[in-house]
Amino acid sequence: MGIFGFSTEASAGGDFLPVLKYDARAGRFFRVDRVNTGAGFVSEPADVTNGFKAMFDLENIETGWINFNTGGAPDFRLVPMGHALPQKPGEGHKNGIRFMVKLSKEIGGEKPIREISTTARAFLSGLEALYLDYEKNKSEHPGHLPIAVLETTVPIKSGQGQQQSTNYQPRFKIAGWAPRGDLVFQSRSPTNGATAAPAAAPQAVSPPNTGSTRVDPPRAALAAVEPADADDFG
Amino acid sequence: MKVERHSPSSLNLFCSAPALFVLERVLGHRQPVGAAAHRGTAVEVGVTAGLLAPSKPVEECVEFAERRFRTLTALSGDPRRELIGSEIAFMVREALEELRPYGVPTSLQGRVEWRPEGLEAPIMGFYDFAWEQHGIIVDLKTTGKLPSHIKSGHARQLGFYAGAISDNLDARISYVTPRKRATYRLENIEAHRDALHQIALRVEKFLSLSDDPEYFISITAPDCDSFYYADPLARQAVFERWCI
Repeated sequence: MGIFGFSTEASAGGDFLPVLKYDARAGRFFRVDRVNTGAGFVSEPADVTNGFKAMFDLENIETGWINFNTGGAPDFRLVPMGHALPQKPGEGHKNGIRFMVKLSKEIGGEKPIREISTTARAFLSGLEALYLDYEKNKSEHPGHLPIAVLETTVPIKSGQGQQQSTNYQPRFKIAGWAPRGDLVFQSRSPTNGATAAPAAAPQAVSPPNTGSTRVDPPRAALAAVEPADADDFG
Repeated sequence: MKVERHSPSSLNLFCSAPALFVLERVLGHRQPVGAAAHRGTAVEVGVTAGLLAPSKPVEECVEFAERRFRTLTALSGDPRRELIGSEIAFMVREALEELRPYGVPTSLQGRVEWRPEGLEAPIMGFYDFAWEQHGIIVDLKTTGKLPSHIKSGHARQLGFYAGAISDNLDARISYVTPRKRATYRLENIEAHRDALHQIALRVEKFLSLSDDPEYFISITAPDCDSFYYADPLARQAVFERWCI
């Protein structure tokens, strides 16, 4: 910690929670590894679709708004699932979810514990089916999380003509249940205390917008200033 | 060192130019006010006159403002004085066209004080105009170039005013340039007010490092190319204090 209240040392780049991505347009899962090239860290995706198996932390799904098009790190405005969603922060934000997984030994690489976040409707609808199955059966497996396997992906077309696009919905199946073990939940929701910083720092995960909406004078004032047309009373 | 009170401008200065903060707020060497800052004061005088007296001819308000500017800059050595002074008339006209439709303000230069938890000294400031019947406060900013959104420092300042007054206030900033004008509504008021609080906490932590004002010379370094040091007197002060 520097005198200005934040570290001025260069980031190690490799200490962040690693990511699992689902490419809905291709219907494939990618484990995104951060690799030190000697000249800095770069992201290297590894396709883990075949034989995909992972423990899903469905106890701790976070929902809300996500903007992936920030030009930098995504902007998450999330709350624990079931809480009222925060106000939509901006046009770039879409409904999305985030949760953590632990990949199986076969596909996990050096860092099997990861987070996945997405706004893809195809993924969300596939996860919904898994979640309903989890909700239905979790009481029979107290203290355990589901082990999900990817059975297949199903193409879903949307739009018309040139606007038509195809996304792939994942179809999961619960293959078993296991204790959480080292899959420790790390939140991105302020209401989970995730971003609480010392000395009552603001809990947002990205800088707040200042405002770029042009506004006119209040209507009531305008009415008082502009003389009424005689016809208004006619 | 202890500070008696914070102001939004001093806290914003700490962010943008820590060395100048040391020079002005710790060592007490206030730098000459440039013609642009005087222009802001003068325009506000003219606009205030025009808002309080809605039927007053705009050219009279312009004359008020220009007279004030001439008074304020009578001893100024700022070489841009004439150019900047020539922009006042347009800015007053634009600002009155923008704000007269709001009606007569219910208060001007309202004093706001806030002492959040953990802060030794309060934050104090003054907003420009309020229309209580509409729940609106407006800060007027004169600037060379029209921003496309509210600047962060201005957002913190306005967020502080709005947050301290009411949790249901429409806070706005009217920017006036020599050619254009725009009024923007502040978003995320609480977050910007909290940001100002965070900066104040850091200022107090920074100042607690020593009771010796000279110590702060030893841990800061000014950027001499910054516009903050464009005035030859400011540049000289930097050289004398920092040997830079």
